[in-house]
Amino acid sequence: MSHVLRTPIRGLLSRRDLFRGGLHASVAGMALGSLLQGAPRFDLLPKQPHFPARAKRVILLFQNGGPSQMDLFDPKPLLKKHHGEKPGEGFINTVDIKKTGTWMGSPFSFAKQGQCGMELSELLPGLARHADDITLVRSMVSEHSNHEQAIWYFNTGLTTPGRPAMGSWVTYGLGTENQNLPAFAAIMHPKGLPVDGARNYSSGWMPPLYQGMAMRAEGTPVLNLKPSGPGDAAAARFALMQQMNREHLTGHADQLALEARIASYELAARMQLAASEALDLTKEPASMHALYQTDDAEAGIHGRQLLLARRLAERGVRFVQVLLNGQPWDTHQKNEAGNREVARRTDGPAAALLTDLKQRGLLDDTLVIWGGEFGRTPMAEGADGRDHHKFGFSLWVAGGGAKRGCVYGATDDFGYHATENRVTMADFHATVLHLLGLDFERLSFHHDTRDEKLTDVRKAQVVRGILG
Amino acid sequence: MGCGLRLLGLALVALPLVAAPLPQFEKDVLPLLEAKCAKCHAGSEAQGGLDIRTRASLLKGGKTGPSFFSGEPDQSLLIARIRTGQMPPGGPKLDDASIELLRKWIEVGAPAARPDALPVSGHISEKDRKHWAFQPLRQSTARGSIDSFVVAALRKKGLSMNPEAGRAALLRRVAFDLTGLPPGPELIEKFLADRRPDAYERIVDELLASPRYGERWARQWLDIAGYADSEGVLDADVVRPNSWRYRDYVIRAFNSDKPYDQFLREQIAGDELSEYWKHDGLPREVAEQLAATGFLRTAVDATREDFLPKDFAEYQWRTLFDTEQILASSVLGMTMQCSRCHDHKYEPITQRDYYGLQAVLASAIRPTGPVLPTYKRIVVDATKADQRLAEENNKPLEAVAKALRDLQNARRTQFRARHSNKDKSTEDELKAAFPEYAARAAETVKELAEVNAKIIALPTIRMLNDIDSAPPPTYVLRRGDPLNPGEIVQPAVPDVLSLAPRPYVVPTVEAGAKTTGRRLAFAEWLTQPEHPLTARVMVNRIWAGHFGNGIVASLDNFGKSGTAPTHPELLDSLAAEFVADGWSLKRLHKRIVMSATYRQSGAARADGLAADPENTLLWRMAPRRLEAEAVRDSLLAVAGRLDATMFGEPVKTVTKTSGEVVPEKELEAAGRRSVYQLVRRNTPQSLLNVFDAPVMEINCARRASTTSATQALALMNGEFVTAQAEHFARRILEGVSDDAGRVRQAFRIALARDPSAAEMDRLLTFARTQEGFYKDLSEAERRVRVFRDLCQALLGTNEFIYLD
Repeated sequence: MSHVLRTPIRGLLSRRDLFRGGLHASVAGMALGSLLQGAPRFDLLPKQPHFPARAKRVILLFQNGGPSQMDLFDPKPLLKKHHGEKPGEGFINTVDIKKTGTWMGSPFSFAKQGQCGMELSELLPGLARHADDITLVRSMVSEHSNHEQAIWYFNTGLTTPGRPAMGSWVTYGLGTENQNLPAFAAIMHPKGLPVDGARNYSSGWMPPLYQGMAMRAEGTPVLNLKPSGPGDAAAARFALMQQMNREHLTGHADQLALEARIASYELAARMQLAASEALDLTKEPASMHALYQTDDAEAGIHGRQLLLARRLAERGVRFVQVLLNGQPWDTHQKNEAGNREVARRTDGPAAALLTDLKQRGLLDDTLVIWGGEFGRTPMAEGADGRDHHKFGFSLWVAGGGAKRGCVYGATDDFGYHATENRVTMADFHATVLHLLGLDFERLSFHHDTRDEKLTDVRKAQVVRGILG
Repeated sequence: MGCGLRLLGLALVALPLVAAPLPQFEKDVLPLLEAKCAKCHAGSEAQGGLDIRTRASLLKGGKTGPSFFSGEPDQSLLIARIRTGQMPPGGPKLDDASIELLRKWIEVGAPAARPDALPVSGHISEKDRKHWAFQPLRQSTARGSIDSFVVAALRKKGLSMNPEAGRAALLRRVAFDLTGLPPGPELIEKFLADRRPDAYERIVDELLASPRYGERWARQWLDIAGYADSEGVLDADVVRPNSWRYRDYVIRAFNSDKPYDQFLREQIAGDELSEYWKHDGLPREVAEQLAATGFLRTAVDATREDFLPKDFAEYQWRTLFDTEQILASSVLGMTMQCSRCHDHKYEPITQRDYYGLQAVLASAIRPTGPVLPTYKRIVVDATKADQRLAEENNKPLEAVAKALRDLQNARRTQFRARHSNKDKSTEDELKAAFPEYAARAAETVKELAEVNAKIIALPTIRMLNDIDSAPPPTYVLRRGDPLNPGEIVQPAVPDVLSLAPRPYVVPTVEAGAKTTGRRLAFAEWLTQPEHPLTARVMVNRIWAGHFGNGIVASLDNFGKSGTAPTHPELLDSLAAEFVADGWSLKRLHKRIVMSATYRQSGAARADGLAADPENTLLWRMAPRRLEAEAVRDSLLAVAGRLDATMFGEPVKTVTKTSGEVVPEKELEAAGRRSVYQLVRRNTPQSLLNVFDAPVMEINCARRASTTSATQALALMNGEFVTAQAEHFARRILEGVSDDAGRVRQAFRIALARDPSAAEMDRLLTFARTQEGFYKDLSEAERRVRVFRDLCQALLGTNEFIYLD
């Protein structure tokens, strides 16, 4: 194994290549980057994957709080049968032993859906129509039962904070297709941030270039996107500034950093137009608004978020992460009512997204991920809640080269332990990267003397069984 | 030591006498095996289980059995494998003389000085010890001026330095470098008018004497110290109410040019420098020393009462791990953290070294046993009488405050029961639904505020201190796992640094003493003048702060995997001079900024670009982008909105509905320097973050310097920048009476130069055209808007954001 020294990465964007392309090509191409002497160089130009990719982009629907596998995805008749009984040895509440309760069967009914006969809960009528489009993984395991640590594991590969999010890794590895839009978009929830806030889409110790750009489906769509003052005045101001910049450059013709900054202004100006257009949901026909239920009292917010997500994905944004506020799936109390409520808010829009991507032919190369940081206990917490649970839970993926109509892995009769084809978060990350044409062992970033990877030093495996 | 030597002599004498001296393991055999076999057969991950580092471990052998039988070289695997060329795999084969040496050694009974010694964790070879950065710093090192070394290196490539930069560019450069702020118009005028030969030196002295100097350079130190105003780890990211005492200490230390050795002693062992616990009311000097130990309290620390015992590994230990990393990377320039789980793969740092250094800290940070929650590890900076007074005053008030809070909680529950959302209803929803609730809640809040205002909050210092002189043992943690302790280790410094003339010795302390002396001894060891790393690492950091790059590019890694110095003699000369100068940082700065190397222009030259495109040899001064704080602070400065208030509690930040995190009242009031803003780990201030200020998790040795559209949008359209542009516009509209004068003044303030004739024409034309866009406004307002646009264009230019 060779060790990479902490030396400037000259190969990434060599001076000669830039000049060969001519000044203008280079300026446009470099768009964004860090070109300070001696420092590693970073940019968002499209990059070749390690091998042919199945997915070109990702839409991550992150389900904060820990969705309940027994109530949504993983029917457990035996759990229902033993409802109210004390669990035997070896089954304890994963967060707090003192709270360990009795088995609690799901109050919801399950039925076979689609050609594949995937069993899904009555709470997910929308997803049920897409059973043949998704891979349902029922054997996820996490490493932590606290929200924050598990969220970091899900989003960043380790249970410690401060690492780059999945979207940062993907844009670092692949750049982006549309230089006029952010590479990594984080779609905010108008009612607030998820637990752990901006860290959910932070680039950690990678340069902020790879950070998710916060976008909103309502209100101020992107920070600082709108010029102050009348448009003509702003345009004249912009022209003056760029003219001064170009003159300044003539005295510093070799300074790529200065060129890159000029290019970044051009990009920002283009982004003002492109992002404004992309963010404008009124451009969508009424049928689309109806499909995404954007006017619905409960599902409307998420519908608008996902309609925006599709518009961005369609325009070549590499990674779109959709955020829910707080931690809606965290049903410590009133598990039944909680699940009903959050499912009503999210199921319809998620189904609409799949329908829409499919009819546009985008589902083939867009990977949609739906999942949370962990699942919930099959036993009751208090009278009617469920606690955090890391030993077995479910998530689903669709499109982007994943199998369709597939159920992968299983938990035991109570939905407690993943017993068959266990998938760790590291395996899951390796698989996501694999679908994007990236080898998780090769995609590394030099930080603090180490070549860091999304999966860190974990022995991850690509989950071949869910590849289509 | 003497005794050991005598024994060794006896052992040798007892062997049969032969003509040639007998081969001996440590002296003859080990160096050979180290050179040829240690790459695979040493340390905790030795191949085939064979560790060649001691006679005993060779005899024990690996999976295939003992590697030699004493007296029987031809039956010994070691000889067989080597002779057949099987080892080392891939060659080259050992030469005959080497094989004969090994054979001979086995034949004569495999003599060794320490025949029974087993290898300890890790393996430090003689070659490792010879790495340049581990050699003591000699005061006798070749000295010379910065320029002599730089010119000599350039000459070898047939290059030369650029001529000196223009006066205006030079002034702007040195002002930003020393103070993080642009030179004001008065300073520019003064400098440009001063024709004395030492005009530049006078400016340098003035800038170094400015309190603004400490504010800029403290920020750099705070990066590597991992400074933050919050505890980290969890979503709550609780604010540390007293971290800023350490930040202020650092600023004062830089401004008073505290000798660097003293600076380190205070930060590492400030609590061991005095018997602080004996004072009733801390003398200022003692309080400063205790505040200095905040250096080792910056790490993420989430210890609190309610954590379950099973979580201790995750929370308590992390603080210790991170603190050790901060200490090692900042002052030693070493990457110890890799050795937490195993011997370092690329550095001569063993796992034992890691835990030996941990033991130095573990008398103060104790992850096992009863842990005092983080917020209680403080000392109250007040006399006993004041403390009593505060207690007497506060006790009844706190009771009242509690009663008021209980009242409000009960009221909330009551009204929630009546609300349609029941216990999910938010405060805002309740207030909207029940005006009566809103009114009474507001009343209670007001009363509570009145009570709180009367509570006396005594100043506290967040310090690191030894708890007693009998800390629990420190273990090597197998695979870095706190639940899997191995052997016990004593406090120690990394073995490879043993060439420092004075060894690290922990003093013996009396039973019942308050401190162990471990950290003080470490600080003394660290600040010995010949220490291989201390001065080199710091000199390199300061150099990087002026040139953008260090002489050693890997600022926090001087080890074998770090980058080699571009100018090794220069580094040593600067380091030796720094020590000889009484560790004065200001003199070091002055030496750097007075050099022709620093003063040369930034102009590109064909020969330089061809021979040394990265400018590693310094044939010019490369342009640099301003760091995040300098961007924000200089926007405030040109707008005339910089509040120069120093020190004290941090400026709070707020999260706007847009998600942007900004300092409180940033548009309404003048702004303080960025170093005084609250540094909260989970909500970094947006503008600083966009310009690459680190999101503090452990520490930051070197910031990225990126260019992004987000930065461009912030400068083009951001509310803060627009507001500063408007203040800037008003400043020049009020201060100057004609437009040409205004344009000139705007250039001077923002860019420290006068506009060219062409620029003047263009800007005046711009001002006239821009009038047309604001026809609806009053004359006065229109003028402000026109000049606001002009100023904002200037603030977005590369010339403003870059140092030439």
